[in-house]
Amino acid sequence: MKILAVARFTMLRLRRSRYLYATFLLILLVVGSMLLVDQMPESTLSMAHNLSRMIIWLAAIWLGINLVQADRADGTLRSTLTRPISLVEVLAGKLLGGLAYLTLLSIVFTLAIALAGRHINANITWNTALYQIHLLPVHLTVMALAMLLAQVLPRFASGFIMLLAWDHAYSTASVAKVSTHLPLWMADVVGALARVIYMICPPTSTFYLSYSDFARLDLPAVTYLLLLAYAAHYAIACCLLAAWALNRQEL
Amino acid sequence: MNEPVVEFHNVSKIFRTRRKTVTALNEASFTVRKGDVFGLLGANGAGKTTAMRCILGLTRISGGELLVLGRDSLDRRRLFSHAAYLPEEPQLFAGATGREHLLYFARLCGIDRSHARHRIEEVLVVSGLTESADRPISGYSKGMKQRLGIAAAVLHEPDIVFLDEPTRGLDPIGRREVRDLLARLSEQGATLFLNSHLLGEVERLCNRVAILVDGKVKAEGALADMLSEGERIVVRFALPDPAKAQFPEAQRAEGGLYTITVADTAALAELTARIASAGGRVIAAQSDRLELEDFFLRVVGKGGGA
Repeated sequence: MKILAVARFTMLRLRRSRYLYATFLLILLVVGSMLLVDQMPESTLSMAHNLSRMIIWLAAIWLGINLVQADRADGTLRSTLTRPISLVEVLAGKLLGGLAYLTLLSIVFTLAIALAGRHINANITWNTALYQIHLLPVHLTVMALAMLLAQVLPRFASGFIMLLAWDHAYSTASVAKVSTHLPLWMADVVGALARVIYMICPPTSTFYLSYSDFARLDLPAVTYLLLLAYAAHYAIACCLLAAWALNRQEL
Repeated sequence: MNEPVVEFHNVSKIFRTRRKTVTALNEASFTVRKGDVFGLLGANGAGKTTAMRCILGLTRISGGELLVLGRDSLDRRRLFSHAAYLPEEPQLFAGATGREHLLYFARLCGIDRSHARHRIEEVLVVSGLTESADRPISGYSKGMKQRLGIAAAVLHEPDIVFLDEPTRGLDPIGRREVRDLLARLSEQGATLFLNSHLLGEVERLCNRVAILVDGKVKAEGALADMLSEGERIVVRFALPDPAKAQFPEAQRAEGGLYTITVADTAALAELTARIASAGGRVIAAQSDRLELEDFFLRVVGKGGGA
């Protein structure tokens, strides 16, 4: 119950922050640009979904880094911990609150894109309408990893690493492509960097599909349930590690 | 005698770094009992904050025995279900309203929603914040924030409330408001543990104090007993001329009066009877009771020729 109390209060604070309005402005821009383009409705729909996916991904990184760090900076984490609640419960509640916020954004994006898609006569099915929602477990793991990194690294470094882990397939492919034009020793270094990116990446990012891949792929329900279970365990592990790291510091 | 809620028995706390070793608490011993308004006094760096951090489980003691609510190893979660802590500057959620802040803290304390709403109304009345409860905290004055911090601290009706410099940085009105609130809490039976060097405030609020000097407790006990230690009563009286010889110890004062200093009320009663039988009359009897500041300076060895 205490975890839910932290989650509700986190959501309340996020709802009142100016970042919510900034995100709504981005949603308006995405949807507005869809309405302005009156050719190739399918590719317009795909572009809008992919843009939204990136915006929510960035929001997940930002939330992960700031949810706890902001409370540490203004001292409210310390006052929260002067209640009968453990640090792990606080962190778990904050992640849940962040996830609720991302869910709200995903739903608003989905509805806005669906309405604009209907307007431009794009083909929207129930399956493809769930695209933003299906990414939520992936976003949860991203947020959890960002939160963990922010407890042991400066915010900037955490953000940079999370951006590298943006899309491991894309990042490692780019690194591999670059390494063919480099001297052997440098190619080794770049290859090592690629491996580090691969290791940092939450394994759930394998499911971080583009809209066209998602629309093509028939993801079995059992696989998706496994993804959900994995994401939940990944988030709990990040909470435990972050709490361990925080307990070793002066709060 | 009330049961002890905090017991320090020869508690030491030594901070060791590579370069130096600092003894923050040096075999400190004192006891806080249920219902006390206890003041831990000391100059800056005397070890007050370290003592409070040890009690709250935020730092481990290096030696001795520290019992909080009768236990020597309370985990933080268990401790804060019986205790509350108000830091020097209460950290509040600026974007929330006072009521939302209290509701959040009530939920963290495990109070169910309906009881929480009832309890919030109670603490809002006690803290005088009922009218501003639905305004954002960012618009509160410093005194209001302090009172909201105290209201949040006592929501779950803790057995003991730890307050670190609760009136520091407040204007006289804010100080008065906080002092009144603490007095009301004390009347309701809460045990208060104040960490302060605002001696005037402590003198008004506390019934027991301990004075820390370089990590060691130099004085501990009931405030009234401490301040009346060495108390003298100066009696001013008028005498008819023939009776002067009966009072060789009397000293002349202004206006043709005499003064005699006695040690206690029994001696005062005896002297009053002597004066009356000699045909004189008592004009005034004044106690030269110490103020806490004088006593504190005497204990820390920086005043009063001590």
